[in-house]
Amino acid sequence: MSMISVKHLCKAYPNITPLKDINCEIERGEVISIIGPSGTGKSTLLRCINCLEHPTKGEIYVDGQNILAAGVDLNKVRQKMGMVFQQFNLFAHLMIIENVMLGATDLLGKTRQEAYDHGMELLESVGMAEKAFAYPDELSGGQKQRVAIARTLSMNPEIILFDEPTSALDPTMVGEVVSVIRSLKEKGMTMMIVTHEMKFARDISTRIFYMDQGLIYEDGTPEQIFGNPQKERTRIFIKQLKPYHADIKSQKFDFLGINSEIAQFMHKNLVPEHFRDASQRLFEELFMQCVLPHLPATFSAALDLGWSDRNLLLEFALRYDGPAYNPLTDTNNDELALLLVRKTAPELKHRYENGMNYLEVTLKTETK
Amino acid sequence: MKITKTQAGQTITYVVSGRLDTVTAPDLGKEIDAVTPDIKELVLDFDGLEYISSAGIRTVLTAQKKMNKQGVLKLRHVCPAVLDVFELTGFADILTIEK
Amino acid sequence: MKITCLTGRMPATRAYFVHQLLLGLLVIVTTGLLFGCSGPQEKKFTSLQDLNKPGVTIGVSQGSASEMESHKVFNKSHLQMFIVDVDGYEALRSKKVDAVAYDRDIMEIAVRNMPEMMILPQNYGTYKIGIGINKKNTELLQKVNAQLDKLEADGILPEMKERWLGKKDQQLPAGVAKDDTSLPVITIGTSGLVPPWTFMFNNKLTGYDIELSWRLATALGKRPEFKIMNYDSLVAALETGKVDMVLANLNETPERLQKIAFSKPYCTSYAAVMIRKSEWAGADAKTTAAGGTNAKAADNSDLAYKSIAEANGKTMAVVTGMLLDRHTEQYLPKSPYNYYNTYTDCLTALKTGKVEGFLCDEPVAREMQRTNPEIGYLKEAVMPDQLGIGISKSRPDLKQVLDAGIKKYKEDGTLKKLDQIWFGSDDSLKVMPAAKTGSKGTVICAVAAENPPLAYIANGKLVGYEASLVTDILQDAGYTVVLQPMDFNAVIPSVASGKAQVLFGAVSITEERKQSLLFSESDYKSGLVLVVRKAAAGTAAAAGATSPQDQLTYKTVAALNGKPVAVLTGTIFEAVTKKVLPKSTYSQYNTYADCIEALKSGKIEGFFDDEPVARNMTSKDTELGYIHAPVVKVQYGVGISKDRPEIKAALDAGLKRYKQDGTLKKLDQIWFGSDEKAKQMPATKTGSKGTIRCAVAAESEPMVYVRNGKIVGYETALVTQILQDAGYTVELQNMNFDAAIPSVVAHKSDLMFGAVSITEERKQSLLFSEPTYDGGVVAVVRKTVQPAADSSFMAGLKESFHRNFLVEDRYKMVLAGLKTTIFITICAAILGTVLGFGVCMLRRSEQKFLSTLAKIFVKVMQGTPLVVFLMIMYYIVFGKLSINPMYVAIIAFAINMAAYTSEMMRTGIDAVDKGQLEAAYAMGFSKVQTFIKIVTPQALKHILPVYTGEFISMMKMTSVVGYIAIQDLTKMSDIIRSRTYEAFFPLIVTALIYLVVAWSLTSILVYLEYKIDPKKRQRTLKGVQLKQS
Repeated sequence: MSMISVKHLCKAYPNITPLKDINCEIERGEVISIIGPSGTGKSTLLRCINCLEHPTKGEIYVDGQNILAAGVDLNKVRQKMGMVFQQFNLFAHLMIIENVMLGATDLLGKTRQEAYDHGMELLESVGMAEKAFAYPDELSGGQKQRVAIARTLSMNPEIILFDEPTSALDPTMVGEVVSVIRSLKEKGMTMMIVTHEMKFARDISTRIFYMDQGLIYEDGTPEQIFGNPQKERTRIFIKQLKPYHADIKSQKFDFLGINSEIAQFMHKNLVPEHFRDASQRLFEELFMQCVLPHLPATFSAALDLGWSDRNLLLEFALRYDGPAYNPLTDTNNDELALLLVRKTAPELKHRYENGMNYLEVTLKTETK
Repeated sequence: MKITKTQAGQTITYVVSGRLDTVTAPDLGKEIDAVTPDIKELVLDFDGLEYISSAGIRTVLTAQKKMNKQGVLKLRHVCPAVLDVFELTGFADILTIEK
Repeated sequence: MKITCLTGRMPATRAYFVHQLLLGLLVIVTTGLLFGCSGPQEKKFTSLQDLNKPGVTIGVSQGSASEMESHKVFNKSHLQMFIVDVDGYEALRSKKVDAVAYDRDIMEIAVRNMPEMMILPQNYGTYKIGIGINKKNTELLQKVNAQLDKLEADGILPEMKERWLGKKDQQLPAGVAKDDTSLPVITIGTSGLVPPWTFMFNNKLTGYDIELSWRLATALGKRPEFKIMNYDSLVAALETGKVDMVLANLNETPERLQKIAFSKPYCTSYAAVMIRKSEWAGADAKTTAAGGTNAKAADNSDLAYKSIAEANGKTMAVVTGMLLDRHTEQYLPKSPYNYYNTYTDCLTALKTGKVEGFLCDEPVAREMQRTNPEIGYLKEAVMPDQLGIGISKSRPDLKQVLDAGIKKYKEDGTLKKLDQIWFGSDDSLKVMPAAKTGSKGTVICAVAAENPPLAYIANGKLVGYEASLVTDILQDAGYTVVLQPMDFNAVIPSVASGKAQVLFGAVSITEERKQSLLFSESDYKSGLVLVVRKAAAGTAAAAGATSPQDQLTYKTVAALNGKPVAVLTGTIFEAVTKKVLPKSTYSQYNTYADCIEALKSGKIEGFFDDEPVARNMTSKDTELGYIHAPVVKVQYGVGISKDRPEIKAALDAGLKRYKQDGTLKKLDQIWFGSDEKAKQMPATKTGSKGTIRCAVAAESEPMVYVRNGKIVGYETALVTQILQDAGYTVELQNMNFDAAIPSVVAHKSDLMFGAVSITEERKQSLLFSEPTYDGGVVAVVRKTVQPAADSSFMAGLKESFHRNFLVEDRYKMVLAGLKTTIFITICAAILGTVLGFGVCMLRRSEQKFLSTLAKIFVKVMQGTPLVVFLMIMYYIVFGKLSINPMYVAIIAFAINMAAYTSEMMRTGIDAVDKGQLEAAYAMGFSKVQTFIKIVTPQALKHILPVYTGEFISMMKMTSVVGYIAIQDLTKMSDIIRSRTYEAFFPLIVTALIYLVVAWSLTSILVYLEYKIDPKKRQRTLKGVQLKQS
């Protein structure tokens, strides 16, 4: 039996629905990283699991028990789960060691001595034993987070939920927290981590959830997700590209509209001008001139652009269904158009897979 | 795309601004088709023209062919991006491009 | 831009113009302020009608009958309300109001302590004073009326009037206040602030109305329970049934009759007006008997001596060189007299009791009385006298000039005008004529400049009636006038020697002087009058200087019981002290001087002494007095060695003889009188029968004491005389009292004396002569009032402090009030905090209904003035219930506190970081656990500072509980003020007490804040064995 089982979880607010329909199973010993663009409900999912947010619909089973049912002792359930917050949330009026002892003495009924001994052990394991008698406001961010982890561990949880544990930290302090989490994995702790740190997620996880559009958009091992993402959006996210997507469904589509959307996308992402020209040119010559005449009245096609401001490259991808057709090799096509295409994107490649044509190229900074 | 036509004797000047692409090129094509044979000089003033696609090039080439018979075709105020395209396609040599 | 400036003279820039304008404004404002600060111009009123004008402000007691009448009578003036009458007097004193309108009897008592005030003779209203009774209680009304009739018929009411209104008694007569707890209670509302009707004396309610209340209650078979409240609450209390009757000098008015019923009137009161004496310019009114006057003594009834004959024999003062000694000898032949340099010195001597009177020129006496209300002069002049200006015999021309001038001024009324000015009270009119240089030369005037208002120094200049007159006349005649002030004795020699040409300054024209001087026409018809002290209120005008009893710190010996006292070693006073003051501790002193010093410095509260010694001592020492009633009668005698019976025989024979022929009495008069010169010892004579060694304790003035190195005294003189007459040589040995008896017993001396009481115990070791003096043992105590004429500010402060707090143990009232204040504050705070927590929880509730309810509650309480809320609670909410007002106050304050506290708590709780709450929930803490463990410690840090402020604020607000009949600290200060009519001490001390209490309570809370701050805790865990690092 899975440790946690989530079925058709939905969380809706008046303005927005971050979770539309979440389904997943979490087994013991798994380390699941949850990645995805901001505002896509990653934290919400975590907070629903320990009921800090109350789901609108759906079921959550912990060790076979439906924790959303009436009459459930939520506090007891929560004691099995630990949570580490982005803002640390240490108890400001207690010393560090007291923070770590509080749960043990008050909830688990341990004696102060036991709680103290265990607490000091935990602090040592996160490297914070020295600061046992300090107050939270005397510590740095990284130190606070490590203490928070120790505090969570003091409750002997079955699973620890990490809600963006390093997002509030200086890059210099991220390392110390990451290494603590790593050591937890080595001890076999089940963990769910919402994070932006791709490398970390890739290294440590047994599974990755890519969340987008209120769903677990794609779910797989790190190799699968990072190496070979199935879905375009996933890929774009992985590459950390800024995406643009347009669906084209019929011959009468709005060419001007897409052109201006492209221009807007470029403008918004501060893309240098020649990329815009190149994209528009490629789209017009390739699609308008070459492909479109070969498509029926209605079809399924899409334009995907992915801009990486890190690497200053633009990924251009056109796809369309129907039989395989490579406009580049079709001699009936207008020479002028093809000439322009070839000149603009010499590396443009065509492939045909699963009934879908792909025309893809990566445009780089122009070298004259 | 905006086309402004001025005529001085036997010279017609079209000021073309905006984009000359698949959608807009036919409009210019129509204009050029309507040019009467007595016109000796056709000037295409591209001041404000930002973009030209293959469709636009074709239109210009059609104009060139026509004027070869009755006069001369001149292109003026061509912006660098558009000039690039002409050069890329090798038609820069054929066309009379004035500064 | 060029603008011509205001002067029109030179063109000015705009900046300059503005500058000028500002300067002008500044001048106007400053002048206005200065005028404003100098207070309103002194007005002059000549009649009651004068007070009914716009621009006149009259203080009236809110809710009193005189207030309602004032609205009608003084309809044009501005009326200012005050709640307690002492506030009105204070306002009058500080010139905030021009007059105070109130009941005559009450003001008459007040005015005794305010010599600068007077009560206008005209009354503006008459009222019947009755007992207020609830309209519905017709049965009670009938019974009360029946009782009043009976008391009137039995003569008790008139007798009470005499005691309370006439003699101004202060205590209820014995047997009236029977506290029988078996009787049912009748509640009586009273104000406790208006002597002689209802006031506090020795922390007990007393007064005419109180006595009447007791009598009526007893007659009705009930026991009265008094409720003290503000005057304007009394009627309301009667209407709501909180009290059954009201006796508080309640005037019957039509407005009141609409609300409550009145018994038959038992007294009449008059509405009168009090104003400052300096503003009265009307006909000299007959002022109240005990008040001061600024007019001539209309009659002698308020003087210590009512006629020359009465004063004959008392010690007088005379000014050297003025022939007054001769006059004194002539008109007061029996009086000894002492010499003084100036009238001022005589006045001081009179005021301090060193002399009983002095003859004086009438104008000087007249002026003196104006500025010293405690003295007066007999209206019949002892002899007529004329004052004139003395002129050098070599200058008859000056005499002509002066005579002509005086004649002219008499005729044209200038003299009269000068008289009015210089003998009047408007100091601003008393200016000398401007100095003019004349052509005829300089006239130097020798002036006896210690005779106000004839010639005296004011603000460094020589001014006066005569000074003004002479300067005017001489300057008009063309002379330059130079005035030289000097002693009286110097003026005549000055003119005689030619240094001056003219002299004046209360100089009488006498035949003798005419031999060496010329005199002008008389410039003032004067007379010689006798100046004496006024009879102090409450005491008989007694001969000699006895201690007015109500000036003593303890008025009865019983009052001394429990206080530390002193005892002179070896005297019988130890036994007396043990017997009479069993609760007192006593310290032993060797000498009287030590006892006196200890008493003055406050180490002890009193000591016993022989009456003659006490009498003599306290007549000289103004700080001490003695309680007249002796605790035990004692006879003094001479203690004689048992083996010298012949000495006893000689003494006894001598004493018997002296008693019969009056020598004893004469000796008594001499030695107990104040004429030091008369106190002479008999000349030393050697006798044939041998020497008698007398051990004397020479510290008992006037019995035996040392003067100028010699042992003198009543007993000394007596014994010496007798023994010398019997043929012995007398040798006096001075020693301590407790050494004297042993000395005799050891045969070192033959006899001993010195205010030695004859006791059985002593008779065992000594023989005693017949008594030399019948005395008694009295207690010497400090006086409360220093009658010094010019007490310094500090002395005045000390006196004021004494009067306000120590007299009648008034400080006990203050302590009681303080206890009440603290009790209410603490109970209300605890209850309020608990309630506040409840309201806070409601406010944070998720149920909209509950949280809205809480919000409304808070808004309403924050918007209602606490006083109003308090009265709503008392009169409306708890109106029907007879609940102790203290509990009502606690509840009301608690509710108010709850509203503010709940908001504080809400803010403090909200201030705690939500993230920590989530962390706690995520760990598995319930909401309640989280609130207690995480929220509360952190919220407290935010709440405590504001809470402290709110707590203090509430404590100060408790000062309004006087409105609902609770005597708290503030009310007590009101009550004290109603007795002493002073504002400074009661108010300042009350404020200081509030400050100190607030400060100490704050300290507790600050300490709590400190303790809660986690950072202040020790960085260690308790109850846990720590790891070694």
